Parts: sequence; structure tokens; C-alpha cells
Amino acid sequence: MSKPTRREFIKTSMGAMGAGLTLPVLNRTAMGTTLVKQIADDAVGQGNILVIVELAGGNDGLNTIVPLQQYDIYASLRTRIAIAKDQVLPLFGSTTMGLTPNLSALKPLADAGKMAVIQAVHYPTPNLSHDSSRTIYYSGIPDPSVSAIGRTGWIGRHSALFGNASNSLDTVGIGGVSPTLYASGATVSGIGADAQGNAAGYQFSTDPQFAGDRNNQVAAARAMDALTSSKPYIDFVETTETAAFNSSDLVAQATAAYTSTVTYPANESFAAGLKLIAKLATATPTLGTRVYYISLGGFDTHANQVTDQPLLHQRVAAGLKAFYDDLVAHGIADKTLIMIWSEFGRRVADNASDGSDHGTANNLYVLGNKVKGGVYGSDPSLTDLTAGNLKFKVDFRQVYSTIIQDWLGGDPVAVLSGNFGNLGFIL
Amino acid sequence: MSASAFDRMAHLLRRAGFGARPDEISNVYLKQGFEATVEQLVNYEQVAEDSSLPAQPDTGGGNFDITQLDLDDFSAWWLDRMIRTKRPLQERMVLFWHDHFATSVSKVNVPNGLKYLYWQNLLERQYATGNFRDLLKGINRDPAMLWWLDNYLNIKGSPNENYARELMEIFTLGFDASQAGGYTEADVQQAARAFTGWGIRRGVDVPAENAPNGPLTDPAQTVDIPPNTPNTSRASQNHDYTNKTVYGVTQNFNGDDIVDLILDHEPQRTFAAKMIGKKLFEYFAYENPEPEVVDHLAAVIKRTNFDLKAVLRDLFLNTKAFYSDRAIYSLIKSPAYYVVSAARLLQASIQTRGINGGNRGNNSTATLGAMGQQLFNPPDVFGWPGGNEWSTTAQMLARANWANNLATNRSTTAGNTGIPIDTVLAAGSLGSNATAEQVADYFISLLIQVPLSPSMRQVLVDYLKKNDAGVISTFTLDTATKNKKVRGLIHLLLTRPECQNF
Repeated sequence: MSKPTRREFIKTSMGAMGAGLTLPVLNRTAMGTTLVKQIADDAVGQGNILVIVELAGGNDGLNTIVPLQQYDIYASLRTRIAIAKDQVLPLFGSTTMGLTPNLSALKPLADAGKMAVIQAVHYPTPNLSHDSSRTIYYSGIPDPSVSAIGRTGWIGRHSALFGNASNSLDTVGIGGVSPTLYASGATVSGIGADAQGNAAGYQFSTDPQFAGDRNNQVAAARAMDALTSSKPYIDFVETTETAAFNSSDLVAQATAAYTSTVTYPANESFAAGLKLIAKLATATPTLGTRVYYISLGGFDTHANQVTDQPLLHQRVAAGLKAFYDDLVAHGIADKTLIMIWSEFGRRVADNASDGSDHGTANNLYVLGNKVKGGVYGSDPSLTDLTAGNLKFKVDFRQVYSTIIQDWLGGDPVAVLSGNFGNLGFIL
Repeated sequence: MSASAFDRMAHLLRRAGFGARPDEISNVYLKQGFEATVEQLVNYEQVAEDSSLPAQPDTGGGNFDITQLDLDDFSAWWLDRMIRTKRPLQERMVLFWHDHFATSVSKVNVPNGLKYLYWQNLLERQYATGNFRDLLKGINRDPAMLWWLDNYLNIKGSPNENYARELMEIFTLGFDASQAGGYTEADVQQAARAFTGWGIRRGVDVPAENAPNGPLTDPAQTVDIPPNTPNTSRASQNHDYTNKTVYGVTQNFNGDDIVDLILDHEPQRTFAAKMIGKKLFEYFAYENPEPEVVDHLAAVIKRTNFDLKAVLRDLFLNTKAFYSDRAIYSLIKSPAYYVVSAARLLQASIQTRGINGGNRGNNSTATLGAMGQQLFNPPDVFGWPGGNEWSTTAQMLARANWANNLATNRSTTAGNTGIPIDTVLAAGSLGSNATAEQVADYFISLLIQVPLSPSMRQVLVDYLKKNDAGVISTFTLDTATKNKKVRGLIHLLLTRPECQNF
């Protein structure tokens, strides 16, 4: 019998954990060395793309996945912001919960079994500060006393161990880089999208007043890069600069070569960012990007939630639906997984400003052709609360573990410093 | 010594400041000589500061209200100061301390916490080249630091060791000292007890008239320092007044006593002198200096009892390694240095608000944040990794695109003046009959300050001569050429890998 692959080893370990045994935290250094090699033989993660979507500000999960079974309590606690029962869309044939009508554009995906909803996700000792809770999700480390390592991102640590450090487009943040992607040894690029979903900024820009001179400038810059510099420390920057030119050319080619029959929502920055991801993802064999990150803000609905949250949800749904259709049209939907999260849910009871205040546990969503659709975890109770907030049931690191193990190909124990198990939402 | 006097002077001004123009080097600095120049750089209190520099950030309508301070106001104020100051070494040292005592807005994000970082910046400017001991004692009671390293949680019976540990590991002795008998885990634990009760007194604000050029209001006003607080205060109740044993000495130490102990007690005094001497040398000269260079600077530091002006003067005048081939042009510019030096050399007074980037990962792709160094947001307590870590592809493109913004900034609005192209050309004595070769050579000497290879220079000369069809044609330094080709040349040079070094 051949040596078990890294993945088999983890699965075996998970089996042991499922049987009620607690595994010790494994020695990271020792694991790291053997791991990289074994993963290289393993097909998991090859050519897979992860798209992380952050709903910044704290998306109100109770008005996203509406608790139908506890509807009377829900409605009595949320007299100002509750979604009417007859508006709630059925989801997965569930009798306990349903989907907000504002996400109706995503319902066909859910009906086709391409969407997973993970309920009551969070971490112990919830922090109600946006920044602190975000930092916990970015890093995958809930311990507030961890300082230095707490500031590296969970994807960053995965990249450092299992990514391609020599590819400047290994992981890409749209419109800037989330701390999620950062760690020493990880290669990260931030690429902004313009209204057409083109890569504004990730290119060598020249004087807009004299477009006719651009070719001269670009040619001169590249001609000088091709010449040898005299000092080794300049060579390093020169190599980076050449890589910058080349990768920005690749990005420009990818965006120029892209055509699509899919129409994205117009004049909308989130959709434009997704469109840029689609343009780059369609060129993935060339670009080799494994992870994209995009964020949409405005979910901190302390007031006027009834007007603001529906618009945000409609933007999210319309953008993601167009993006998914685009992936299908380009034949890469099987290779793309989308994870949608927010730093916390909101208080169960609404406030007097027609809004909701910071809360704790929340639902988290995963979309894609390789998703095993359905609900994971159980509905949070609206009566068994802590200081008016939901109790969490699924550790967010379990979601990360599942994605690292079954989608990115890697060692969740090494990345997350602990074994959190696998939720099994990936086919 | 292989470098010419001109090259050595240019090197001194690049390192101890943000660089100088060739005409300034020849007409001012070489004429007055190295001693006078170093004196002018180090004893900057004798240099009249630009009176148009605002004493405080503009928090709206030209006013300063510390409760309204935001990161853009604050960083714009500092960047503007760095670009226009007549005391460049002072600002270079404030940048040094901001990295040495790296404190980030990402954690000091308590309500109105930015004022703490503002006070820390004032403190670092006040003591920029003062005595290291005074600076450390200021940092001891700096509200941003007390928050950043959790000392406000450090109380009798339940000490938090974070500050005491970093004080030794990062601020004074260095981690290596712990491996060489400089300090032990027990020293950290005992020293932490000396800082118990030191915390922020909430709700106390330094008056708005507090200005960098005026007297700094005693930061102790904002913090509770046992035993200088009433015995009934929360701080005094939280302070551990019993004996502590640090480095084998047993006394009822408080936090300031620990600083004195580090700087006066051997071998800690020698470790601290070497650590700070080496770090200053690495900031101004080159990385991993020879042991004898470090020993020399440490001896100066000990002889002058941690007088920073004395060690800087020695570094720039007596330390031969500073002018060696290993030093000249061997460092990679930090993003802040890159932006400031380019604006200074090109005499631009650019709009500085927004350059820092409001948030890490902000949308703009040409900010200091995109280049990897958002001010007041270092990645962790170790500061910015620097060096090669500054050069990823996205960060290089962010530099190139900021350079394009600068090169093509034609604004003449006061406070946001782009490159005054005629003034810049006049400083290089380039008249209307100047050749493309002369223009290329001048801007190479201004922005890169070392010759480029002949083939690289030729690419730039050809660029100046090329029309939009890419055909080499007659070069005339007329208005159209200045506005288009000279600005294009500036962009190309600022983007060159050579221009990322200094």
C-alpha cells in the first residue's frame, strides 16, 4: 500500500475526530516540510479559483436567511425591520427558514444545489467592534492577545506554504488588498477595477494629456529594463519591475481578450469588480491566480435598514448572478468557488432608528458548481441569547478548513494552527 | 576613498535629508564644506524653519480641532512638512522613530485614538535628535504606546508583560541580547511590575495650542504615572510598590527607573548602545555593518551618554564606512522617502491629502498604502520590513503611477503646486537652446544622481527626440516640449529601478 497522501491523512484524522477524539495540535514545522511535497502529487486545488466576497459592516443575517420556524418571535423582536412572511422565498425545501426576496436573483443557484448556507457561524467570546471582528476573520485567529501572527491573513499563510510565490498574480485583491491575503512569503497584488471592469492602476500609466506619446514612454521604459544594471541591489528592483510590466501586460491582455454575452449591472462598482475577476479568471491558465478578494461595504445598517439593506442585497445578488453566468459561459464554473462572509451578524431585536445594532453569530454562504447545496449547521435560537445576541454553533475556522482542504489543496492544520474539522460542503 | 567630494556631499544630503539639487550641492553645500553642512543638518534648531509650514493639521476650514482629526488630515500635515521643511534630518529621524516605536492606528482605534498617534508624532519630533533616555521616558508614558502595547491592562497582581518585553526586545537591547546574557525572561516579568498602573487617564486632552514648534504639553497630563498620582487614584492602586529584581538589582523600581537601569547598568548599557548605534547606521548607511563600525558608534553613544546629536554628527563626519562604496546608493527608498524626495527635488508643493491612503487597501492605486507604507499603520510592532520587501510588482506600479501623477501635475494653485517646469529647468541652467542630451543628463543628475549606462542614457535622449509616430525628429526646448517630453522624461526617471535606490 502506498503512503497516504496528505489529504487522505487529514481525512483519516477528521474521521478520528468525528468519533469524539481530540487530536493534538500537530507540529507545524515538521508537517510543513513533508506536506508541500505530498500536496504537489495531489490533484486537489489544481487550477481551482477561490473568490472571497466580504460584506463589510456586518450584514444582517436574520434578514438574509429568515427564521420561518421562529417567525412570530422574529416579527415581535423586529417590529420595524422584519421581512413579511409571505415575501420570504422558499429555500432548499426547508420549513424552518427561507431567503430574503432581495436575493431572488440567486435563488436559481440555490434551487440547482449550487449554494450552501452555513448557519450560526462565529467564534467564542465575540467582539462587537468592526475592526476587531474583521481582524479575527481576516487572520483566522480569534485570540485577541495574539499580536504579530494575528496580523497575517489566513489566505496569506496558505499562500506562503502552498502558493506560487514567484507569480506576482498568485493572489489578487480587487481595489486594494485585504489583510486576509497578507503574510510573509505570500505574493499579493492589488488591482483596481474601473467602471468597465478593466484593470485601472495595474498598468504603467502615462500622461493622459498626451496619449500620442504613450507608446514612446512605454517603449523607453521597457528598453531600459532590458539593459543590464550595474549593481546587484538594482537588479532586484529591476527584476520586480520587469515582472510588473509583464504581469500588467498579462492583465491588460486578459481584459482585452475577454468577450462575454453576459450583461453585468451597469454603473455599479461591485459588479465592475466581479467583472474584472471574470476577465482575469477566464485567463487563469496564463495568470495562475488562485484567490481573488473583493469587498462591498455599507452593511452597517444602524438606521433605515428597510431601505438600505434591500438595495445592498439586490446589488450583491445581481452582481454575483451575472458573475456566475459569466463563469458558466466561459466554462470555468466548475473551477470557481465563491465564499461570502461578513464580520458579524446583527442584534436580534431591532433598534428605534429602523435599523439593527452590532451582533455576533451570522450565516455565511458558499456558491459554485462544486458546492454540495443545502444548509449546514442548525438554525440559531432567537430565544436562547447572550446579551440579545445569537449564540454561535459553527466555528468560522471550520469553514476555512473545509475550503483549504477540499478546494485550495493544503493543510488546514498548518494554516490555522489547529484542527477544526470539515463541514463537507464541497463535492 | 573613491567617491568625489561632490558625490560624497550628494550622498550625505540624500541620507541625512531627502536629497539636494546639483546646483544646491555645488553652490551652497560644497562651498561651506562638510563640517558646516553636518552642523546645519544636525543642529537644525539653528536653521529657521519655513514659516509657511502649518503648525498643526488642518481639520477643516484651516482650523485645528484635535477631536476632528482624521488620518488624511494628519498624514497630509506630516507629508507636507517632510516635503517643505528646512530641517530635513529632523523629519528623517521622526520617520526613524515612527518605525522604531512602530504604533499602528489599526489597534489604537479607540474613539478619537488618532490624537494619541498625533501626540506620539509630536513627541518623536521634539526628541528626534535629543537624548535617547528622554525619548524613552516620553515613550514610557505615551498614550498611544500605553494602548498599543496593552500597558493600560498591566496591573498589580496581574501584570501584562507586553510593554516591558518590547522595551527590551525591540526598543533598547534587541532580541540577540537575550541570547547573550543581556536579559532574561525573569527580567521582563520583573520589569513589567515596575510599569503596573501606568495607563491612560481618559477624557483628558492636551490643549489645542500644543504645537510642534512650541512647548510640548507634558504628556504626563494624559497618563497616570505612579507614584506621581494621588495615592487614592486608580493608577496608584494598580501599581506594585514592592521590590523588583531586574538584572540582579533589587529595588522598588518604577518604569522610568527601568529605562535608567537599561542605559546605566552593564552589560545592558553596552547592548543598548550597540543596538541603537547599529540601527541608526543601518538606517543611514547600509545593512549588516562590520562589528568594528558598531563598536565605534556604541563607544560614542556611551561616551556622550546617549546623546543622539553626538552620534549622528560622528556618523556623518568621522565614520568612514558611511562614505564607502558599500554605502553609496545601496539602500532602497521607503515609499515615504520616495514621495518626499521626488517632490522636494522637483520643487513641487503637491496636495498631500489622500496620498497616504485612507485605509489599508484603499481604492486608489497610487498611495503610500498601495506602495506598502501607510503612515501610522505599520504592520506590527517590528515596524515595516523594508528593503526588498518594498518591491512587489503592485508596489512598483503604485510608485510608477504616483510618479506619473506628480510628473503630470500642472497645477499652480497655492498649496497644490505641481512641478514648476520653468523653475526646475532654470535651476539646471537649461535654456531654449538646450539639447536633448543636456536635458537628459541634467534630469539624470537631479533625480538619480549617479550616471546611467551610455545605452540607457541614449534611450532617454531618443525618447526626448521622438514624435508621436516614434520617429526621431528635431529637439527644441520650447513650451510644448517642456510640457510633454520633459514631464515624460521625469516620469521615466522616477520609475527607473535606479531611482528606487538612494
